[in-house]
Amino acid sequence: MPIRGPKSRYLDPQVIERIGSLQLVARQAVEGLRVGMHKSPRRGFSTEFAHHRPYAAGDAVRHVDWRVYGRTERYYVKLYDAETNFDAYLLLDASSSMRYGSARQSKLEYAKVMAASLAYLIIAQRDSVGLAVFDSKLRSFVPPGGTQGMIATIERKLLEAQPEPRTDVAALLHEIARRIKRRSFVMLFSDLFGSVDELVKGLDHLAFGGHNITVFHTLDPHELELPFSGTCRFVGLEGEAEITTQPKRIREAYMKEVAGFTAQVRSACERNHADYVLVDTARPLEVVLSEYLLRRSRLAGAGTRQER
Amino acid sequence: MALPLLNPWLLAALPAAGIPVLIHLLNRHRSVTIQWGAMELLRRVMVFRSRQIRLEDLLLMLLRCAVVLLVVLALARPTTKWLPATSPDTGVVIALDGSLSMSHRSGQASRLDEAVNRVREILKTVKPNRPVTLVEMGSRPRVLLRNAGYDPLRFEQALKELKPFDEPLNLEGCLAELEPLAAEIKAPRRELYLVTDTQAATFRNLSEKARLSLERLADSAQLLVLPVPAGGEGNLAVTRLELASGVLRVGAMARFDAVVRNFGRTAQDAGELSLVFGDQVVDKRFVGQLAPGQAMPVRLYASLRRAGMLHVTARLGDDALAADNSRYAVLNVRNMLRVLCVDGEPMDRSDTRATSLVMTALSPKTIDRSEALPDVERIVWTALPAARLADYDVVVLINVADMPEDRAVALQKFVEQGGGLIVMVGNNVKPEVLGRRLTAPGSSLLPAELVSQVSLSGSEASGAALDLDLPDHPLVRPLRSLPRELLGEARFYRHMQVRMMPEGRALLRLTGGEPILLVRPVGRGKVLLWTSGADLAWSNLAINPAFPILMQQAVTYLSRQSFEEPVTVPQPIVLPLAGLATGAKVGVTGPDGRQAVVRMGLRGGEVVAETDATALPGFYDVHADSQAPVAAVAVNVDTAGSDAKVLAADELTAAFAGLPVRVVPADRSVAAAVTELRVGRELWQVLVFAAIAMLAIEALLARWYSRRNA
Repeated sequence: MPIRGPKSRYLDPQVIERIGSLQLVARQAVEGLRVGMHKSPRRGFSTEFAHHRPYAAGDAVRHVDWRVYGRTERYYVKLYDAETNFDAYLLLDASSSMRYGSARQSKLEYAKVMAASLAYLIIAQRDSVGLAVFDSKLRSFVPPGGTQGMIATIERKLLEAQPEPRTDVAALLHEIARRIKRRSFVMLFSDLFGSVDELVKGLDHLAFGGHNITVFHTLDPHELELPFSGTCRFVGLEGEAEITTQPKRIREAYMKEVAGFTAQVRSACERNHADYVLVDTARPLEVVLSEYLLRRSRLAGAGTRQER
Repeated sequence: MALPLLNPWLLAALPAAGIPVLIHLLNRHRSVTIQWGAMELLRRVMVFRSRQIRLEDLLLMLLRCAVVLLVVLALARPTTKWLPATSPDTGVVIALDGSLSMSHRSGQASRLDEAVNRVREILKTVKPNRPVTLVEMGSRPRVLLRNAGYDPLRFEQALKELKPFDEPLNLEGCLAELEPLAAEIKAPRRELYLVTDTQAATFRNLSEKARLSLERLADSAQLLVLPVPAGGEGNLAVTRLELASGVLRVGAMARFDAVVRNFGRTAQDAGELSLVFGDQVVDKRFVGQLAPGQAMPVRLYASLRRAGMLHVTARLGDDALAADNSRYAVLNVRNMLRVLCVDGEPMDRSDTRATSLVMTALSPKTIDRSEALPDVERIVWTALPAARLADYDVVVLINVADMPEDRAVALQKFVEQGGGLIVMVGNNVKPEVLGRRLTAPGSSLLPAELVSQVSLSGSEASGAALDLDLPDHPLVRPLRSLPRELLGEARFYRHMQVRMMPEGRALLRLTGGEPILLVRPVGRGKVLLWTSGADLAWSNLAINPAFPILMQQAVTYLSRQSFEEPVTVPQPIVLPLAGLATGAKVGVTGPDGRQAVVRMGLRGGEVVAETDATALPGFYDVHADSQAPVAAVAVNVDTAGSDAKVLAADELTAAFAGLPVRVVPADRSVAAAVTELRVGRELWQVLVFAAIAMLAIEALLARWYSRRNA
């Protein structure tokens, strides 16, 4: 599909240009209503061969693979994957902690651009995309849709999303898990500051529904490295009690803590077969998305080869 | 344990130890505020690290405070007496007596030579580079080396160049000036050595001021008195030389009074006393044996044969102390000595009128026609405006009623430039006329204000007598050798009551205390006021044999120039010189032939040449150019220092009884006495090392913490 330069606050032509040629591939099979480019968990008989199975009474004779019979003298039926469209849910954390940004953009702005870009990509490949903006509770929810108008809707919702003091990712994940009735693509954009244990429960809930989950763990480079010097007074963006310290003196311990934190989240994601992407907002967005999409493509390819 | 401080005022900087705390607090206050999202992560870190960080911070801050504290303490230079003795920590002040008596020589070595040897003994106990102050004491202390790091060669050179002063020791003054010198020595232990001959006249009865100074000195330094061996004590000195009588003109016979004194404890033969004009002996008198303490007056006579500045010396033979064996005087001999008598009663033609009596007294008709007397000239008082005052040496106003204002001003100028004025009151003199004229601003001449004429005793026959207790003044000194009954016959019937001016001084008084003869210096000249004199209706003094002596002595006294007044070592010479402007240069040649150039300057409204303090007795010739000297000044030693007797050991102990002073007898080694004394050391090096060590520890810790956290 040709890339037209969108006139949008959150759609950067450079990003779109870069990722436009890459397709978002559902690593696991997703259910879709329309025939699309993604594998459906429902086996079908279209053009994309999946595997053989022994013939059973009731199977149509036209599906028997006679070549296999010729070699083995046994009846096997050829099974094909049914290609389908998926629903993608973009879950955007709009809590106050996402307001932090040492670079040109805050984490929230970065996440919004990332979400908008992915929405554009999804719509462009004829899939459906929805949006949920949350902080301590779900602030807005746009059910998935596959029309071009969805991009404008999502953009409007993103624009309206203002930072709120508290985050409760886990509660949001439970809420989303309850709302999504069919297996979908769920992409979470958050710094995930909060209880990791609760987050794990939320992921478990989502994973239980068979959703294809990607966690974009969005962190600012300063949050990753604490590069400050001198005496600093840290004032919590979510109303936490302030802390005065010399960052240089605690940097090592802090970075260990960050590493522990990201490792915990990554581990929780792996347990739930969710993709984990650590997003450093200092990196160009197109690079982050390209890497992610390429990785997905590679994994999808590998999965297909294994199934064959 | 007390730690005396050498710079205690630097303790005021102790609050500087709080600077690291202040910086810490300021840094806290000046912290950067960051709106932060990952507070939970930060909090988890802080829970584990905050106590450790706080401890680290506290440790670093304590180290920094300690460094500042140690530096401040080191600068304050604390000392302790509890640590082992280390002579390098001793600072020394050596006050060497260089007064006149130290020139006393018995045998080859003088007392000063002995004193220098004792100083060398002291210096042997001092380590190189320790602070030492070397002072030579006289009428005031002269600092030869001040708070100087001890360098044996430098100090030996200073000792070799040491010369005694021809002046007595002013112990009080010297001790007072030694106090700051001792206090400025930067050492935990200070020692102050007084190396002296312990001259009895100075040390026997120490003044209260001297004792207080010694006590104060003992607060900052260990005091040691080192008497020097005194081989002998005998000394003869010429203690006085002055012109007793004689008119200062060529051809006059001058009488000089000198006094020779034996300051020793035993009788001594003084031999002959010579009177020397220039380098020519003009008279000699045999003095002979003098008992201990005896002062022998000696009269010497000589004719004044040549006009000009005459160097007069009275000289004894050599003895143990040579500086006081000669005494010097300068006479300005004139070819003529002119006196102008201004007659205030011209109508009176009798021989007994005041003017005639005064003129007769000044220039009596003598048998010896060759006798040099003043040339006396008389004018009537109305002719005064026409008289050229500069042609005369002395002007006498006799019973003058009044004079024009410009004449009064001219008289003032005449006196200020060195002339002499005698004012004799009589019936014509009215206090409100002449008295006011001669005490008015611009012509203030009289030594006292004239108040009113007063009759004495109510009876002209009896009158009031002179007080025969005469002051020691050159003008009346010749009267002291007259029979008392001669002066006792003088009677005063009337006098002018006066009110003394601050500058005035009474030389003759009546028995009731009323001043009869007063003197006042005005500029370079002097004014005499007779409140009752030549008029026989007022007194019979004019017909007393003492009157011509008094009048001639008055003319001699008034005609002497200011430079003829002798000066005492070390006073500077202050010389008004006519015809020289401010800034003009004059040369002053001392007795040793050295010439100094002095600029004329203003002093008391008068243009004078003022030299530095004089150092040597003798004659100082003053040249305005390359011509003959315009003036000469005689400089004598102060014979208060001629008494060379010293205190015996027991007397010395008694003299310093109750004072924190240690006397090291002359026969005892200085080194042994010093070793007993010296304990204590300075702690600043220890403190500096400690500060550096703490600084190093702080730097290492800070670096380690920083690396660990990086």
